[in-house]
Amino acid sequence: MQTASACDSASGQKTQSVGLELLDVTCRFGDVAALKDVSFTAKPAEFMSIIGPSGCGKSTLLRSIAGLERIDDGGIHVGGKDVHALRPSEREVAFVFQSYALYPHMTCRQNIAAPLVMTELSALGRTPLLHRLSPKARHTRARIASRVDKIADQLQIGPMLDRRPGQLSGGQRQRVALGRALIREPKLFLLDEPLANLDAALRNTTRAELHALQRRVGATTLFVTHDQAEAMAISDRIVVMFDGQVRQIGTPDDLYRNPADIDVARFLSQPWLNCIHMDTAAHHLEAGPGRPTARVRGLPLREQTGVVAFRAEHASVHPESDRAEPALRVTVDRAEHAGSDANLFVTLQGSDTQLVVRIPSSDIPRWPGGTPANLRIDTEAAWIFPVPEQTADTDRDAMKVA
Amino acid sequence: MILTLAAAVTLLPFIYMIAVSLAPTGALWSGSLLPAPSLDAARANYAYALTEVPLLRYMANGAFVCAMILVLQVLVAAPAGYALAKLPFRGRGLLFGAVILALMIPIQVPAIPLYVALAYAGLLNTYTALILPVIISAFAIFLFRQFFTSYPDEVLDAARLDGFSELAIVWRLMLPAAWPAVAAFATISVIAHWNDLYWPLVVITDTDMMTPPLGLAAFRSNGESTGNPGALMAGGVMVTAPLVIAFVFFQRHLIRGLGIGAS
Repeated sequence: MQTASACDSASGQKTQSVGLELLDVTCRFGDVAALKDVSFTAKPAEFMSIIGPSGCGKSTLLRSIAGLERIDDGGIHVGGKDVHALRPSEREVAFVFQSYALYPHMTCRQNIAAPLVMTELSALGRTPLLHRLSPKARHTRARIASRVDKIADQLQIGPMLDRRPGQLSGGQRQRVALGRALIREPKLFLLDEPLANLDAALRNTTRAELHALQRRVGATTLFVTHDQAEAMAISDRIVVMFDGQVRQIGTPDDLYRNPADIDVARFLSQPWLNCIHMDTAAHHLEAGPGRPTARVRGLPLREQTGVVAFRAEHASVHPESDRAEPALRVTVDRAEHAGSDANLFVTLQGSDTQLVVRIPSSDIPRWPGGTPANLRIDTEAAWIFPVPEQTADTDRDAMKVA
Repeated sequence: MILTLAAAVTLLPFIYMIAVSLAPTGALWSGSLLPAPSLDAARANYAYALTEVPLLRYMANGAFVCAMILVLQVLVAAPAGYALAKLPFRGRGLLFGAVILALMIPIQVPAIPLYVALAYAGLLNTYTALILPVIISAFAIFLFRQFFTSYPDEVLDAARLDGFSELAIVWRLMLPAAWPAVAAFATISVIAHWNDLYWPLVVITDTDMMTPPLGLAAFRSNGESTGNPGALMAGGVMVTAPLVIAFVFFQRHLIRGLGIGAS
C-alpha cells in the first residue's frame, strides 16, 4: 500500500514524522483556566488518546496545539520546532473536526485540494479562469490533482470526488475530512472526536481503518474522545485529563491496572467503579468469629483509611450458604444483559450502597431480584484510595461511597 | 382579492405608459380610456426618444454607475459583515449598533456636507460624485452580517488551518455561501440606484453624465417635448424595461434572500 509520504517525492522531501512536546501549557478564558500546566511528550509516530469528562479541556488542548486558541503560558513544539509564533496553517498539523467542517459549496475534490491550493498556488493561480494564463500554476494544479486522486484511492472515495459534502453520508464525509488532513502530509494529526457522529457499527470499522492508516502514514496522532473503550482499543498511550489538568499518562494496560487516583479509575470502569468506605468493608469482610484480617493487595484493611474500590469484573457472587471466604453480604436488585456478560446490580446489606458485579449472562436466572448473596472481591485487583473530594461531576459516584 | 386590486392599481400607470408610447399624440385627446395604438406612431415616438435626447447614453451611464456601486458596496460590506459576525474585537457590539443607527439615516441628511465636499474636490458632474457617497451601505453590512453569523465556526477553523487568510475566507467561503443574500442585495441596490433621481439631481448638471431618471426629467422640462407625450412615454418604457426584466430573473433570489435574512 502506498503511503502518503511517498506521494511527496515531487518536492523531494520525505515527511519526517516527529513527535509533539508540550511544556506547562496554560490557557485561560477570563478567570477560568481551561488548561493548567499541561505537559507531556508524544513520541514520533505515536498514537495518543486524550480522554476525560466533557469540559475537562481536551478539545481546548487540541485547538491550542493547532493554533486556533491562544495560550497564555507554556510552550508547544511540533516535530522539535517551537510553533508559538506560527499561524495555524504554518504549524504542519492537520485537524479533523467532529462535524468534519467540510466546505459546503465545494466538491469533495476541491475540499481535499483546498490546503494545497491555498498554500502552493499564487493568488493568480487560484483565480478562476485567470489561472490559465500562468504555466507554473497549470503545472502546480496538475500536481495537486494527481495527489488528490492518490489520496482518494487510499480512502476509497474516488467515485464521490465530484459530489458536494451535502450529498454524502456521514462515513463518506468523514473520509473526505481525513483526505483533506492527509494531503497536507502533516507532522501531527489532531483528531477531535472524529468518530462521534458515526453509528455504532461504522464506528468500529472506521476505528480500525483509522488506526491502520495512522500506522501506514506514520504521523504522530492526538485523538480526543470521551469514549474510554475507543481510546483503550487503538492508543499506544492515553492521557487522562480532569479540570484542565493531566491526571495520568500511560499505556491502556497501565491505566487499567494502576489508575493514579479514584477519578481515573472511575472514568475507566464500566458501568461504574464500586467504592466502599474502609470501615464498612472491614466490618463486613471480617464479620463473624474467627475471621482472618481482611487485606487488599496485602494491606490489612483495619489499618487503612479511605475507600476500597474495585471493578465489576473483579468481584463475584456466590450463594448465601457459601461462606468459605470473606465476603460482603448483599441483596440482588436486578441484572442487565450485556452480550456474553451481564451486570448484576446488588445492594450491600445494612446500607444503601449499590454495587455491580460482572457475571456470565447464562447465570442471570440464578440471581432473581431479592436473592441474598455473598460478594467476594478479588483483593489483588482492588485498590485503596483516599476519600475523594466531592465535586459536581462526581456527585453521582460519590453517593456510592458508603 | 385585495391583492388583485392593489396589483391592478399599481399596474395601471405602467399600462397607460405603454399605451401612450404606442399611440399618436392626437389619440390621447380622443376620450377613450386607453388611446388606440398605431405602428407608425409607435415607431415615431421611439425614434424621437432615441434621437432627440441621448437616451442610450443615459442608460449606459445608469448601468455603469449601478454596476460600480454594487461591486464597491459588496467589496466593502462583505469584509465588514464578516468582521461583525465572526471576529471578536473590542467594541464590536457598539460598532454593530452604529451600523443599525446608520440604517435609519436617509441620504438627504448628509446631502449638503457631501455636496460641499464633492464641490471642493472638483468632482461635481463626474461618475465619482454619483458612486462615492453610496458605496458604504449599512443595509448591506447588516444583511451580510446576519447571513454570516449562522456560518459554522468549525469550518472557519478548518479554513484557517488550510491556509486561508481572513479575506480569502470572506471571498472564497462566506460570499459563495451567502449567494441568496448577495442576489437579494444586488436586486435592491440596482433598483434603488437606477431609479434614484434625488442624488443625481444634486450633483449632475451636465447632460452627458445624466442617469435615466434625471435624463427623463430633463427631457420633460426642457420644453421641446411637452407637445410630445408619446415620445416621453417611449423613453419611460425603455428606461423601465431593463429593471423589469432583471426583476423577473431575480425575484426568486430576492424573496429567498430577504426571507433568510429576516429569520
